[in-house]
Amino acid sequence: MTSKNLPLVRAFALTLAFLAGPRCVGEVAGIEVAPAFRLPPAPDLVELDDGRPLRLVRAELGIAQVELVPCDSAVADLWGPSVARAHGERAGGGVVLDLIADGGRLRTLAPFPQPPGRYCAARIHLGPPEAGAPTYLFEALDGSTTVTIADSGLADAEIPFGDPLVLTEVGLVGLEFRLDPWAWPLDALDVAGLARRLARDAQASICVEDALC
Amino acid sequence: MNVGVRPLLPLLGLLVALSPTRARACGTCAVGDPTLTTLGSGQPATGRVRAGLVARHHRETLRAAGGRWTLQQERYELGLVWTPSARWKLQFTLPFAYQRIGHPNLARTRRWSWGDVAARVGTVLYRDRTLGPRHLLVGAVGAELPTTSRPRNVPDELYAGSASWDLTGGLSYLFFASPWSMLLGTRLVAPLAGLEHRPAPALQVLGGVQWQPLRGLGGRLSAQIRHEFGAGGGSLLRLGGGVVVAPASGVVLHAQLTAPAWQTGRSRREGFAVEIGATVDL
Repeated sequence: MTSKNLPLVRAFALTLAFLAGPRCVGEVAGIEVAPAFRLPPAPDLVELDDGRPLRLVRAELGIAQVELVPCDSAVADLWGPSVARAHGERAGGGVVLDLIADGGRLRTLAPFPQPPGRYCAARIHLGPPEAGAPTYLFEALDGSTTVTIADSGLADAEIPFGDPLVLTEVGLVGLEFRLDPWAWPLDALDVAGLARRLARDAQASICVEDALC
Repeated sequence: MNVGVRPLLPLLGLLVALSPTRARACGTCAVGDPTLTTLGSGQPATGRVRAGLVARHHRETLRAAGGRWTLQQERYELGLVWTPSARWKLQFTLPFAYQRIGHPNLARTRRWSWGDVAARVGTVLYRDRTLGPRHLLVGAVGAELPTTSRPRNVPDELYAGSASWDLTGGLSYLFFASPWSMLLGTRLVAPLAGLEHRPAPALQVLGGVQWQPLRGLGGRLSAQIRHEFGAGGGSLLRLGGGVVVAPASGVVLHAQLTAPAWQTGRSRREGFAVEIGATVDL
C-alpha cells in the first residue's frame, strides 16, 4: 500500500478493533412456565372395582408434554405452532410421575419458554415416556399374585383456566396441577378415561401464580 | 466458538494498525480503468492484492416453532483478494457477527459468532482487452466451511452462517465504460448432503449500476434477488443505493442502504440494511 494510505489503513484497523471490542454478551431469561404436579401420599392398599384390597407396588404415569393453549387460536395460528411445550427431563421422551415416590410432595417439571399472550387452558399430553413403555402402569399384589394394569395409548387432558392466564412480563410462572389418582377407578380406565379424570381433578385445583403455588 | 471471537479481533486489528508497511501500488492504475470497485468486483491484474472490511447492520424477524424471533445483527466480513495473474482470482472471507436475538418468550441473547469462512477461486472467461477491459465475464467456484457456531436454543435460520459445508458457484459479467459501470452476477449455494444440519440450496442474482462523475466519487444502485429452495424457502428482492468514495489512491470506501422491496413464501422477514466498507489495494 502507498505510504499515503497507511494512516487510513491503520485507522481502519483501529475501527475494526473498536467494532469487535467489548460488547455485552450473555442471555437474559424471558417468560418461562414451570408446571408442577402435587400428588397426595400413596396409600398402602388400593381397592379395585370389585372391592378387593391390593398392596400397591408400583404406580407411574407418563407425561409426554405440557403446553398452554392461547385464548385466540386464530391469532396463534398466524405464528404457527405458538404453544411452547415442556418436554420431560428424559432424553427422547417425557417425564414419569412416580405416583408412589412423588406422593405427598410437589414434582416440578423443567420450565419451558412461553411467548407473551392470553392463555385459556393448559393441555397435558399423556404418553409413553419412552418407546415401548406404557403411558401408565399400576402394579399391586393380590396375595402372591401381581396385578398389572397398563396402557400405552395417547390422550390429552385439557384443563381450562377460570380466568385467562395473561403473560406479559418476564419471569417464571408456576402452574400447579393437583391430582388425586387414588380416587380414580384404576381397573376401569383406559388412557382416554384417565385423561378425562385427570382433567377433572386438575381443573378443580389448578393454581397459577408468579411463583410456585 | 462464541467465546473465541472476542479476544482475537481487537488483537488482530491492533496488530495491523501497528505493523510497519511500505508503499507499493495504485489500485486503479494497475488495471487501466478509473472505475472505483469494492472488494471482489475489481478487475483482475497480475499481482493485485486487495483487502477489505465490510460492516453491515440489519434486522429481521422469523416465524418459527415457539413464535416470533427477532434478530439485530452487525455482520463484519474481513476479505482478501489476490489475483496472481490477470486470469485467476483467489478470494478469502472471514465473517463474524454480533447478534442480538429476541426470543418469542422475551428472552434475549447477545452473542458474538463466527460466520462461515469462505474461499473462492475465480477465472476470467472472457475479456475484451488486457488493459482497461470494458467487458469481463468471470466464473467462480468456492466452498464455505461450517465455522458458524450453533447455539442450541436458537433456530438455524438465525445463525450467522449456514453452518454447513457449502459449495458455491457463480458467473459475473462486469461492464466498464467510465463514468458508467455495471455488474450482473449469479451465485448458487449448494449445501452438501450427509450432514446433520442441511439448509436448502439458494440462488442469488445481483445487478448493480455505478455512475462515477468524479474521479473519487460515485453513486450506485443495486438490486438483489435471493431465492431459497425447499420447504420454508421463498424469494426476496432487495433494492439499494449508495456511494463509493476514494479518499486516497488505492483506498475505496463505500456506504449502502438496501431495503426489501418484495419477499414471499419465507418464514423470515428482512428489514432495512446499512452497509459500510473499505477496500485497500495492498
